[in-house]
Amino acid sequence: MLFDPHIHMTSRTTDDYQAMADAGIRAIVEPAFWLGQPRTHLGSFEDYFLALLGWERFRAAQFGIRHLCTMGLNPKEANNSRLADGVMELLRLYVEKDGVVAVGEIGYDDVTPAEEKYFAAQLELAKAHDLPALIHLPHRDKKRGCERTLALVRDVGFAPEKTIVDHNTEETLPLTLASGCWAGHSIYPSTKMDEPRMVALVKQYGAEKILVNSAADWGVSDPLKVPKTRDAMRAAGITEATLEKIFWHNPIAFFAQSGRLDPADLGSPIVVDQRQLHEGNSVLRGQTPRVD
Amino acid sequence: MSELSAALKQLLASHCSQSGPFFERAESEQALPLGVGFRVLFASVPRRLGASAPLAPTLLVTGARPHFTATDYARLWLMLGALRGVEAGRQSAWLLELFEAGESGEQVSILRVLPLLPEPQRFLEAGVQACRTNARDVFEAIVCENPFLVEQFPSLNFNQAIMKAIFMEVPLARVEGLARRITPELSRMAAGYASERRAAGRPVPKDAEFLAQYGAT
Repeated sequence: MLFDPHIHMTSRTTDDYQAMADAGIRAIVEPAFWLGQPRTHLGSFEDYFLALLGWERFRAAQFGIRHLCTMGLNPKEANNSRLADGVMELLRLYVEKDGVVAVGEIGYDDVTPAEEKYFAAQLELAKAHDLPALIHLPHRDKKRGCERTLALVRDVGFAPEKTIVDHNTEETLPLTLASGCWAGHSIYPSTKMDEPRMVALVKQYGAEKILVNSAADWGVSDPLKVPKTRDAMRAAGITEATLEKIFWHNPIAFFAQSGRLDPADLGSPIVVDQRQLHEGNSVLRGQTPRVD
Repeated sequence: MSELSAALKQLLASHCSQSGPFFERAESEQALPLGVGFRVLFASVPRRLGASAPLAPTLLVTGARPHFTATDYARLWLMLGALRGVEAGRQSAWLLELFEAGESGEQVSILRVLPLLPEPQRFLEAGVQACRTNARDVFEAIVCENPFLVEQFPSLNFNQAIMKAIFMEVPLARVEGLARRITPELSRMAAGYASERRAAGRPVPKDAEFLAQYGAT
């Protein structure tokens, strides 16, 4: 059984869900994110949050996959002061919804003062609501961004064991692990991290607090990077116990800190009934429904 | 009408066969720059004016660049006229709204002609927002062949834009006046990126090497 702890399914198709289920993915976390361009109305955020909690959870379940999500104001849109305060108000409500297992993805992008303000405020929000945090590392000036991220987590007094620092590379991973935070790795077709490098990192650093995700979204990305990386590690002789830890037990242990995820429940299969509807809407388009 | 507006009108009238009806319609809508009519007019320029190819370089318009299209000139003309109808304190917000509500072609036109608007530093936010996009044509409109980037961007945003250009493989040779803004901080960021690429076993972009080593003896 595999867990993809960071994937943006609202941007993916039912073919992706089917392929993910066939490859053994049983649970996913979809962090709230931006849509590739900035939203211009507060209501767009609320409808997006509702879609994560409603339709997307339903779609995933129709393919036997448990869908959990995180709620947050992403750093790119944190720069829009006209909307950011309103989104923070919305978040106070939405982080308390069932199925929300962390505040995220939050962090730095351009490393502006506005980004820092809402990053810190959302760590405080996570603290106040007793939730973990999922932090995105910036892609430009990455090492410095990682240092600043870890410094902010420390300054806010946020528990490192309740923090994922995501999109690590060879240069940021030692910093992340030394801080006591969990370390996410996004396996991408041509940027971020790839499978052979991830194998080398696990051989060097082990499996403790290590997470692997596809971070698949609306860009060139691959929702099967979690099973592909597992296969690459297996081929490289990494033990089955280590694989189980990285691809199943670690994400569960981390997100279970939200108190909204029952490890035993997660391990039991979802009974798929594709005759079901969500607000009158089915994922099927004339196909014979799968009923387990 | 300002000298620039008059020059733009003359330029468009001589290059676009459909400019007569366009200007006629524009004169009435421009009086209401906050209305839907203006937005419709602004959006419809390529179809109504029938021109999307670059116009030959012109001496009529100071600050024009060879890649400007008739559409860009027409939208500049529309914005100049509309700004006269918006009270001074609302003008930067007005432009940002026009930018945010634009499809990518409208956004490209706005960004290209930003430096030709009066007191362009007021419109910085649109330029900075454009650098957050991953849509290449929009990003290039502010970063490439556009003096606004070098002249108006604060160093934090400037450095991020340059690093993003390297990331998106937009050649730095297209950044007008880049050398004026290369600082030790920008060189450090480029060196950091080069180091990250080497650690990942990936090739280091030439532009990152260039910036990292800039000024080194």
